[in-house]
Amino acid sequence: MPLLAVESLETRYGPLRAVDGVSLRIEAGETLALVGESGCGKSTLGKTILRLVPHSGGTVRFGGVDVARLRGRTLKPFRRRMQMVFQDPSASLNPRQTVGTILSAPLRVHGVHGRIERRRQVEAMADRVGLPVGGLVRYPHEFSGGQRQRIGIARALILRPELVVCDEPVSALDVSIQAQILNLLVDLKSDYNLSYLFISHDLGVVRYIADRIAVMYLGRIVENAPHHSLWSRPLHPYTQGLIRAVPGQGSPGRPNRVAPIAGDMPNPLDPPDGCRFHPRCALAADICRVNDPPLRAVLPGHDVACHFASA
Amino acid sequence: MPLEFPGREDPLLDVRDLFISFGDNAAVRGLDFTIRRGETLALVGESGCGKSATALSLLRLLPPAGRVAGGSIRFEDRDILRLPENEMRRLRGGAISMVFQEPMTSLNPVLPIGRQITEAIRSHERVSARAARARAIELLNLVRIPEAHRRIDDYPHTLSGGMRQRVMIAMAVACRPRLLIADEPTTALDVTIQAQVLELLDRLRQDLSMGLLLITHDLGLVADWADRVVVMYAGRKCEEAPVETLLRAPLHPYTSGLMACSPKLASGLHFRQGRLPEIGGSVASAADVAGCLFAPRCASARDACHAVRPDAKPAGSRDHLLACPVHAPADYAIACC
Repeated sequence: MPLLAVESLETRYGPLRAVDGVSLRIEAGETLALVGESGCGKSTLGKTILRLVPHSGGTVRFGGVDVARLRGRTLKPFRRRMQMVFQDPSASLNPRQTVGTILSAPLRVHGVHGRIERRRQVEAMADRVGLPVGGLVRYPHEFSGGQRQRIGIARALILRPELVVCDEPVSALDVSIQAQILNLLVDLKSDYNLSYLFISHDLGVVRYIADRIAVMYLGRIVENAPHHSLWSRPLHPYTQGLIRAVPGQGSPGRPNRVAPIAGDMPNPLDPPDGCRFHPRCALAADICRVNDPPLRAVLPGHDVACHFASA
Repeated sequence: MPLEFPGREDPLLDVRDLFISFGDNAAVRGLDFTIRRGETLALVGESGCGKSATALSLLRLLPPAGRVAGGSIRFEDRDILRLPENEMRRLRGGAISMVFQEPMTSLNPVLPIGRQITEAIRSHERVSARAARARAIELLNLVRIPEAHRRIDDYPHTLSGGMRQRVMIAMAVACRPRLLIADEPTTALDVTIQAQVLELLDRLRQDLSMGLLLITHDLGLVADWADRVVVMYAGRKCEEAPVETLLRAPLHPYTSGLMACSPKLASGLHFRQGRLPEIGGSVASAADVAGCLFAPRCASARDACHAVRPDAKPAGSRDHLLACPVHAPADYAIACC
C-alpha cells in the first residue's frame, strides 16, 4: 500500500480549477517531485493534500484512510503525520515569537505534555538541523535566510511526520546555501524515514532530490515517471521544452541560446480545448486541438498525456 | 573578419576603485570593471555581494541611505559622479538605461503601458504625441508583443509576467541606450519565459550595439549569455575572465565552489549516490575580517589569507584576473609586479 494515494483530485478557487483531476502516489521512503511553472497548480495540490485548502472532488488516501473526508478530531492525528516546509521562511515564521516558542508550539498543540519534555525535544531537533546553541531564545529576524529555513524544517519535523510537503524550500536561498539545505533534507529523510512531496520549478534541484517526478501544466499532470526514465527519455513535449530551457547546458564556447517553448501559459480560467499544451506545442496536430489526451503508461512506470508519445 | 575592433581599448563604461556604503556598512569595497560597446558583462554573486548597489550607482539611483564613498565611474567621456543633476537626468533612460527584476513593481499600475512608454520617449526627445505613440507600437513589436496596436492601451495587470518584462525592456530601449543594465531581469519569470526574455535582450544588444551589464546569481545564464564575467563576494571582485575561460578553469575557490554546489541537470548526481558539495558558513562571516573576505568560508585558507586582503591581478593571461594567491598559477606573482 502506498503511503499516499491521490485519485482524481480537484481543487477550485471560484471558477478556476487550480487542480483538475490529479492522481498520484507516494511510496513510503520515496521523494516525489512536482515540477511546473508558476500557476500550474503545484502548490495548490500540495496544500490540498495537507487539507490547508479544501478540495472539491476526488480522494486523498493517507495510509489507506481518505483524509479529504475527515474533520475535527478525526483529522488531527493525520495532521501530525503530514507536515509542510514553506518557500519563504521569513514569511512563515511568527516574527514575535522566539525560535523556542515556534518549535514547541506543535508539541503543545498535539499534546506532548510537560515543559521539560518539550524543551528536551526542541533542543534535540534544533541541534539536529544545525541551529546554533542558544538560538532558541532568539527571534527569526536574527537569523540568516538559510538558518531561518532550518527553523522551518525543524518545526515541520518536530512531530516526527511521515510525509513532508516541501514547497520550493530552497528557491529563496542563495546558491551556496541551497546545497547546505538540500543535504540537510536528505540526511533528515534517512534519519526519520521521511517521504517527501518536493514542489519545485528548479529542474537542477529536482534532478538531485527526486526518485520520481510529476510534471504539471495548467492543473493537470502531463508526465509522471521514475527519475532515471524521465531524465533519459522525457516523453511529453512540455517536459522536453522545460528541460531544454534550463540555462547553462551548452559547453564552454558553445552556449545554448535557444528559447525552446514559444508563447505564454494560457489563461487558466479559460484553458484551451483538447490538449492544454497544444497552443505552445511544436508537434500539435488536429487531434490535439480536439481530444484531451489521457495520462497513459508508455514505458514501465512512466505515464504521459500526449497523443504522439511512444516508447 | 574585421581587422579592427573599435572600442576595444576605449571602454564604454569604466568603473575604478568603487566604494559604496550604507551607513557604516560597506556594500562595495574597491571594485574595478569595464564594459565595451556591444559586449555583455555579467556581474555574478549572491545576495549582499554589492551587485545591485553597483548597478544603481551607475545611474546615481542609490537609495538615500547609500552613497558612493570613493572611486570613479566614467561613461564614454563623462564623469558620472560629477555630472550635474539635469545632465544625469538626460542620461538616465537615454544613453544608459535599466531593466529591473520585478516588472510588476516597476510599472505604474494605473497607467496603460503605451502611456508609460511614450512618457519615456517624450521626456528625452521632442516628438509629437502621435509620433511617440507610433514609436511605442514599433517598440512593442520589437519586443514581440502580439497585436501591439491593441495591447498598447492595456494596463500592466492584464499582462503576464513575461509580457510585463517585455514592456519594461521596450521602455528601457526606447531611446536607443548605449548601455543597458539588466538587474536579475528574469529572476521573477518562469524558465521557459526566461529564455525568451534573454534571447530578446541579446538580440537588442546586437541590433543596437549596446553594452549590456547582466546582473545575476545564476551561473547557467552567465554561461549562455555573457562574454565576460566578474564574480563578486562581499563587495569585492574575486575573479574576472572571459566566460569560456571561467567555465573551463575557474581559479578562485569561491567561483569553483559556486559552480560545484549548484545542482545541475547535466551532472546527473542523485541524492542516493552522494552529497552535494557545499560552501560552508554564510556571507555574514565576511564582516570584520582583516584579510580575504572569503577566508572564513574557504577550505584552503592559510594564515596569510586572514591577514592580507588580496587584490584582483592577472593570472595566466591579461584578461583573467584573480584575487587569491593560494589558487594562483605559477606566473601570478610575476604578472603582478
